[in-house]
Amino acid sequence: MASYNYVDAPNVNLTCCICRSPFVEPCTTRTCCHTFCYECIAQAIATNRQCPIDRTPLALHDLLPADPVIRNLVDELIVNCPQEDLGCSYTCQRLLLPIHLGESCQFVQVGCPNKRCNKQVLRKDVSEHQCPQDQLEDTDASASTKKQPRPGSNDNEKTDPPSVPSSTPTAESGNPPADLAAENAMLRLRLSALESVVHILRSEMFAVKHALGPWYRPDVQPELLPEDQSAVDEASSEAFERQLAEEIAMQPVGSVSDNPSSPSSRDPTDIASYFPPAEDADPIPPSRQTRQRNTPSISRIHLSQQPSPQGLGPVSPVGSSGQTSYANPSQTPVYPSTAFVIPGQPSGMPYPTPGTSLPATSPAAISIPPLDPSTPLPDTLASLHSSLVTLAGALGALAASRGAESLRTTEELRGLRGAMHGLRMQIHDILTSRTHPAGTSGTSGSSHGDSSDPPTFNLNGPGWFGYRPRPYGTPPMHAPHPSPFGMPPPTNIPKL
Amino acid sequence: MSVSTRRLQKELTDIKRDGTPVGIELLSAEDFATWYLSVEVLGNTVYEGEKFALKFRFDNQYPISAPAVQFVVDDHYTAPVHPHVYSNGHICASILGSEWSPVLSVVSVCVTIQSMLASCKKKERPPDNDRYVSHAPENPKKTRWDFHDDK
Repeated sequence: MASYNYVDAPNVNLTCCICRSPFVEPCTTRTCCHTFCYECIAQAIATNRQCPIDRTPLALHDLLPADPVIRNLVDELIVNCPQEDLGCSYTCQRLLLPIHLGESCQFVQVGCPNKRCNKQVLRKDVSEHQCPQDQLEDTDASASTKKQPRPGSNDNEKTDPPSVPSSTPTAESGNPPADLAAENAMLRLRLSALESVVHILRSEMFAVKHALGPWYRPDVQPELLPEDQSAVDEASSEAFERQLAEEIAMQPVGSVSDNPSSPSSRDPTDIASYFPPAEDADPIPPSRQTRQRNTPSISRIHLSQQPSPQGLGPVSPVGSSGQTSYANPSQTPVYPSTAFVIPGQPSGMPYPTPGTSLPATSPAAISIPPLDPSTPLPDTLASLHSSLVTLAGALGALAASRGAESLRTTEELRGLRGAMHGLRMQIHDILTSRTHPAGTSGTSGSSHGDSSDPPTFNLNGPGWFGYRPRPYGTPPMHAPHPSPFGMPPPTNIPKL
Repeated sequence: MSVSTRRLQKELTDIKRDGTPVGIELLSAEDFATWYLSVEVLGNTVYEGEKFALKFRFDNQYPISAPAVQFVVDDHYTAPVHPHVYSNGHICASILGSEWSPVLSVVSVCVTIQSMLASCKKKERPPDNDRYVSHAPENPKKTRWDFHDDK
């Protein structure tokens, strides 16, 4: 962590509360808007994932670069050169200090200017530096050359901009290097700001890519899309893979293959083989999107009609195999037990096709195209919408037909019941009239003509009492009560 | 190591420049490992007239890690009789444990302890004082405190 010697006591608003010094790389929390040095808050979060000031939960990704105003305020604080104790009395803005140390401070150690020896020498002594070998060689011959740079170097003041023992005039070179240095510093600052912006943009982009999934369209040829997607999805679907990993663990490794002919080998284990071959109606479980991969290392739930269906999804937890697995010559979409039953497929069985009055748009005729990630997202949404509309229509028609059908059935049933009751009454009447011709013929005779008095049928008791001749006479008459079926018999049944 | 040193240097500079709050005094700060401060509770409290000494021990992770703070128990000073202070000087305070924050400082810890003493209604030792003191670690940070609010 850098430590600076500030000339003036800095404003307390610009000091980090953890290190109590002006901010170094200030970051602001997204959640509670507190600012810290990046290093300080990183260390604090590593220990305790709370904001040190107000204890709101905090993670590293909640940190954003601080407002540029703060950065500028902090970068422009005047600091002393760290080589002050060696004699450098230079002061500058904090952000310009590295440049001063790197280029102009006279009390910083530099390597040998001639690049021949390994000695470190203070920059101010560079002109006087003699490599050990040179000293031995140039004792006489360079006596004159030695004298020349020395007067030149003595003229230079120690705090001037760089005065290397070359022929750079000192007076004129004073300004351009300083300007260049300042411009350089500004450019560096802008660069760092741009870098942080790029970082933010990149993370947002990544989130968007992840959200779009297979519909993410980088501007490349569509043919490359599967590879692109697999590369993109590789990173974004790690969690998805881990999720499937445990399901795959339940399957034998041999079943995880992308061979189109492998379904036949799985047929014996699939109860789906008993079902008729399904149409290509594959509704989409909303939580799993298509992942097209050329060589999948793990299986994926596959939804497309591509001729080379990769990653056939044999993933099927044991409990759901009987429920949602289908044999299909080209693909075997098998869903985990959390998925819903596909209505399009088994519709052939509960609804016998002939003899019913189902409307023409029976569910068996509906084919819902699978999600095709090669079409743009709006088109896919439109096709989904139209599929939904179709489904809704089919459902409505189904409900209506079933309703009508049930009404008819109810009516017929009712009619049948009434007829039966009437028949029963008549039989009872006949039987009782045979056994008790004197007693009951009158009432039964009168009751035949009476078409508006159904309870008279019951004067002879419940219908089932009179089915046999009664040696001991009729049972005691009950009070007139409604028919045992709770329905009045039809009033217009003619006497048999 | 330099992080804690720099921070303690700053705190020391601030104390020397701005002084300490009323009732708190800096007794000794010779190095950046152990500091001593005295705490006195002012006003009409049960500790009126009593003066206590706090010993702060810092490790190289300060201020990320909390300092070890305890009352000094020797010939000159004793530990106050308080439901959260054990007779060996160890303090049961959440801000010295799970609730420590790097924003807190030596002075703020002293102020907290001062107010903890000031708000005490009854001078009594903690219920498990004898048991704790008999096998307590030397460093109170090694104790597994169970912070409870007995308001």
